[in-house]
Amino acid sequence: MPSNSKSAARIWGGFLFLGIFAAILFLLTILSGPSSVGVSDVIQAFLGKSDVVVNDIVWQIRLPKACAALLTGISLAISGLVLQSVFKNPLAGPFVLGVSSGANLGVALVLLAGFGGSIGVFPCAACGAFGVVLLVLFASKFVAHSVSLLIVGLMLGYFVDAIVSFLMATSSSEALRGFMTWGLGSFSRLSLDAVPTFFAVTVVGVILCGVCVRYLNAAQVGDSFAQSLGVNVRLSRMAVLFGASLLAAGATVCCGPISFIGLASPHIAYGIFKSSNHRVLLPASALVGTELALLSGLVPGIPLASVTSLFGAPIVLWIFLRSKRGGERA
Amino acid sequence: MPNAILEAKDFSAGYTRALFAPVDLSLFEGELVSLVGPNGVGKSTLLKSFAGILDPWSGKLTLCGMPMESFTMRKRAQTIASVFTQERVPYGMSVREFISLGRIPYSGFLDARTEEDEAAIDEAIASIQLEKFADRSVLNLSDGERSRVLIARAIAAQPKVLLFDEPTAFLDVPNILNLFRILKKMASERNLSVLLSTQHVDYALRFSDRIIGFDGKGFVREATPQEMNESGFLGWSRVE
Repeated sequence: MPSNSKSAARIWGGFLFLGIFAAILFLLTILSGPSSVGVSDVIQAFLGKSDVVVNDIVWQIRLPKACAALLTGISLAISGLVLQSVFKNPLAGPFVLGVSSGANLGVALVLLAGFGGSIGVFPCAACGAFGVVLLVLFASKFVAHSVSLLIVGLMLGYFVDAIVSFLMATSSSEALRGFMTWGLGSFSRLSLDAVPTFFAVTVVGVILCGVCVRYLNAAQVGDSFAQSLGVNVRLSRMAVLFGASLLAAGATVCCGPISFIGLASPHIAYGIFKSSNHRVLLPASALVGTELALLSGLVPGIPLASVTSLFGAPIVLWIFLRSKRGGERA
Repeated sequence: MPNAILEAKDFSAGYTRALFAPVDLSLFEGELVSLVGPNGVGKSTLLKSFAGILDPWSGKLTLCGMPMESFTMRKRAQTIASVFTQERVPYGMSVREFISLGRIPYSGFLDARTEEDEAAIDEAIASIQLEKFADRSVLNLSDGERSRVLIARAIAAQPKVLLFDEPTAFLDVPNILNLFRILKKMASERNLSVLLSTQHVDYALRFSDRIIGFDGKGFVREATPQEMNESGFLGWSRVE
């Protein structure tokens, strides 16, 4: 709600800055890697005029990686923001609904138990993630309070994690190694063919959350307040939770369990825009998330999940300690 | 005789059982009505039914001459603004953003604000003289300031009925007096019907046009403050 020209200027300036920064990082991701590829090579590859090797590097490796980081950042950030607002809890994120655990279970079943090997890792992870999501949504039909739902999600997550631990304890060391590698997370696993699917999942998730901006804004005060404003709370909450789960599941399935982007992006976006209006926060968090993901992807040699935690934890702490808001929330 | 905006016939409210015997109640244009009764007799539940959040346990509600059920949620929210006690104070929200939430009944999917919305917000802020803390965080307001911000948020929706659950609960005496004066002024200036629940029976009797009283034994009655005082219906509030 740009109440005056000062805050409107802040909002437009912020989006301009974040947009340009995201574009630069996207380009850097395409340019950086073991083999050197220049800007002209990239342009020629896009025009279909470069040689086969450069063409393959750009189209088969770099572009999917950049897209994976872009879509993961958007997905996790929006999922995190929306969950923080629905659960009115600044520490909520894609991990709390058990979505990541569900995806983990799907992968564990394939890699550790050899179950459904013919289907492949990604579909199984997706099934696991959505299995948990459906259970949480089913529970939401009976649970009136958002916080109770948070507990349902957490408990489901613990339950599923226990099954994964059991599978890990009983599997061979070779299988265990493959499973652990998946758990480290990577943007490089996504193939060019899978990009449109990931894109479609992200778009659906973003739309589901985006059409509920009225609910998200009112829910910060309370669900019954939202109801008194004429918002269909049950329907909106279902849509938003389904969207958030879809986004978290997509990102987890494509790139592994990546922490902190979902938790930190909304806080950073708030720090930049000083607005709690989701009309601003949704796109802002998405841009910040994209930037965090692209930045993490640019760090060579360290597993992705470690990078996001290594950089994410201090950033979140810094924001909490620095802002007055953090002190009040803690 | 002013027009009845909200009417209840054979009305009772409750979640799992009727909390009071069926009663006929009405709210008229431009009046301030106080809802008084001991804790747990159903004041908030009655307000929730009036707000359309909870279906009545029994009876019929009529809003502006039409059955409550015939209103869409949005139309209902444009007519009735309500403030409930369990509201949480959101972090990181400015007073203006908070008041702007009151316009949600008019906004589209993406919750944009039109110039008309902004004008209504400005007007609500000006009418309660909140201009100088419009940019402050709602979290940092005193209880008295917050209660005025809550009125502004409700007024921004340009409703015909304002329901207010326990607005005096955390206020000191000057702020209670101020709150009643503002609400009374809002009611008469805007032809608004204000219904508030309160434990401060003495102030309610002094400032209200009418009282809806609970006797604490499952009965509800509406009367003028004088009639209510003389009837002994509010015997529970007397200090012997």
